[in-house]
Amino acid sequence: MVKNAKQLLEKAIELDPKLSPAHFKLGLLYQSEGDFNSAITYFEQAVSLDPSFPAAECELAIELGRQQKFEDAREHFLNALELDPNFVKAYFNYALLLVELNDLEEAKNNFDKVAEIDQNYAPAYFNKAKLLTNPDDFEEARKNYETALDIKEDYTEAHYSLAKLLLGGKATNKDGSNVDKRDWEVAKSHFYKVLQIDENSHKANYNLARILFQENSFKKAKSYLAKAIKLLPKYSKAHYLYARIWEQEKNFEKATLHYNKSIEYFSDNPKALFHLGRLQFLCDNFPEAEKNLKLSIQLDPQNAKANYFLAKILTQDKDPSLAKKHFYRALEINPDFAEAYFDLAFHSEHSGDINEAKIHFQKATDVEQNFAEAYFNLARLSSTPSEYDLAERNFETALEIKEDFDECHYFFGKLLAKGEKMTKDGTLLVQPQTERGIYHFKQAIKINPLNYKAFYELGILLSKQEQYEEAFQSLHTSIEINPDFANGHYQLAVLLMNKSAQSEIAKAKKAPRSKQASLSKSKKK
Amino acid sequence: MSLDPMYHLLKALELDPKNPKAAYLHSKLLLDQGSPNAAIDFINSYLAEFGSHPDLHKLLALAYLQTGMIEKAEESISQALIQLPRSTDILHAAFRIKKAKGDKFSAFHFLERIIRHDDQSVETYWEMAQLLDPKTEAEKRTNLLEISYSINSKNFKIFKELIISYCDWFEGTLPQKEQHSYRKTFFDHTQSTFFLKLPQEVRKRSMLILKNITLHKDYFNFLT
Repeated sequence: MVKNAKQLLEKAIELDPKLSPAHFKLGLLYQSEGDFNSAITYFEQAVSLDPSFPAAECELAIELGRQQKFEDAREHFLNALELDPNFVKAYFNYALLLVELNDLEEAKNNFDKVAEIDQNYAPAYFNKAKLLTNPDDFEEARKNYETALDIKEDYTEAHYSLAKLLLGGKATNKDGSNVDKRDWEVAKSHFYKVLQIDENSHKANYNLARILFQENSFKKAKSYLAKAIKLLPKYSKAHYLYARIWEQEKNFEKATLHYNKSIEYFSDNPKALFHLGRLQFLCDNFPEAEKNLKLSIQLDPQNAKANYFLAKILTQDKDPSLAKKHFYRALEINPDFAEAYFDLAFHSEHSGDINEAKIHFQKATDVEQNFAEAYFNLARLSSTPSEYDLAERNFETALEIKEDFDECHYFFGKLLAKGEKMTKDGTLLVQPQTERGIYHFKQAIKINPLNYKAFYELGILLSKQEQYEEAFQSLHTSIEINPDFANGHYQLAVLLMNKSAQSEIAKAKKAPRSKQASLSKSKKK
Repeated sequence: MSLDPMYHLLKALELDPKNPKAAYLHSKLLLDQGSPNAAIDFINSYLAEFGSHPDLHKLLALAYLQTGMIEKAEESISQALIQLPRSTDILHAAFRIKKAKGDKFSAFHFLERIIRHDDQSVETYWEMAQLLDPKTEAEKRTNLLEISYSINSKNFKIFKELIISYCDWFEGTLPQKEQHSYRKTFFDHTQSTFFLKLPQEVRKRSMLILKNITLHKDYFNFLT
């Protein structure tokens, strides 16, 4: 048919070389066949033979645009629109050209013009919406996508783009402040629609999985990701998300495999490198973790967490300054990174700089006011008599936040039992608060009945209070829990060398037997 | 559940053989149980393996003292004193060794060193008084007992010894000028409720001395 049409049109041109419609139609035939050079030749002929031929001007402009001759294309689009100011196709394609030329405002105006002339021209709404990427334009973009979908229900790209818009949800209020307008339910419905129309859309499969991952629907998310990867085996992002889910499900082997694939298919992948490094750190594979975290930082130096984990690995290094450098870097990027302050404090403590450690524990509590462990460690390090009040306050705060903090009860008990404090004039006072100390050791034991050290300290206090039998029980429990606890045996010996203690304990040991005997007698009776 | 402290000490040392506190207590228990030779063997092997420790040197010295090896005891206590010259415990052990040796001068010297670090130690003043001869060193002895009694005025044993010491002193020599200030103190002591509890013989001696004092020409000075 086409061949016949071509032959007929060529014949017509042969008979009348100035027949511009024949040139135009022949150009359209070549265009449909993909022979764009020939198409241009005929469109140019048509335009030169009839300067008032808007359709030919428009098609010529489209083809010139295709050949990246943008300025020539613009000229012919403008010719077409001058000849026919209501020429929808010319406006629409001119708008697309303006997008290519990055003149987005003018492009939007032209898409508007298209919609003005033909209110049912769905691509105009869709393409305009795609240009509205600023958070200020969120609602307008959404409206345009929705209009495009009202006109053309099975508009796959519009469904996909609207879903992506709602997945991100970055918008602003009237006053310019940021607002989260994510609507994952609606986004999901649009991704499902895309997959209904085209089940092989790897992007829709992947983005749907992203939402499901955020909703902790790991099983469903994995099935969509598996499909996305099947459709596009080198889909780096899909491998990355797949790995994240495997990691959440504690299947570290598979997680490692997919992080590695994600990196293999897209090497400049700081996120995957970071997560892989972090995972390797958690699996104690420190050399690999260090390597990957360093690569991640090279690609994205602003990743505070990558610096933090690298610092944690470097704490094992002989040179403490290496870890410090990365802790400080993490804190420079994110000054509210409480965990970084906390671990930096531990690092300082292990490097022997107790004062610096205290400063960082303090900082961690400033940033995260409910950081019980930070208060506890700050108190634990405030061990001099002049810091007694500070330590007491911080132990109490830690226990207010986390009542069942057994270690904190234990250390607080030790502070109270020792009771060494310095007055303002520098006098050392020794005022043990034995009752409070006993209370906290008992709490520590209640929370963790295997805390043999708490039993040990409780035993010492009870023995000071001459409650020898209870002291003996407590010390004995401590060595029962940990038979290798040398101090427990020692303290028990100290107690047993006290004659009063020895006799009270021996008496108490006999007592239950006599009770038992009286019980058995009464039973016999 | 063993109630034998030795069992737990042996266990503690088995788990942490280096622990000096456990080693000390173990040695002390051996000494208390009357096994100084076992204590000597244990301490010597501990010191050879884990190095010097002042409290263990002290116990070793006391163990040697118990077995009558005074020279070795002196050697060990001097090792302890080199490391902790201000430890009252070690100084007291040194005193005991010198006393056992019959070296009263050195024994007294160690007690004086204890007093330098703890001038409220009743026992030390008492021990010092015991080292002095009741006849020839009566004044000094009375002084020491007086200090001891002033620190612990509820101790009848000290009071009794003090009054006897006064009697020995005043009976041995005629009332001297130096004794003036002591006469009033002695008189005051006889007014104490403790005085009535003294054995009759001591009270008689005291009353005789009081009578001599009142007959003396300086009696009025004494009253003022």
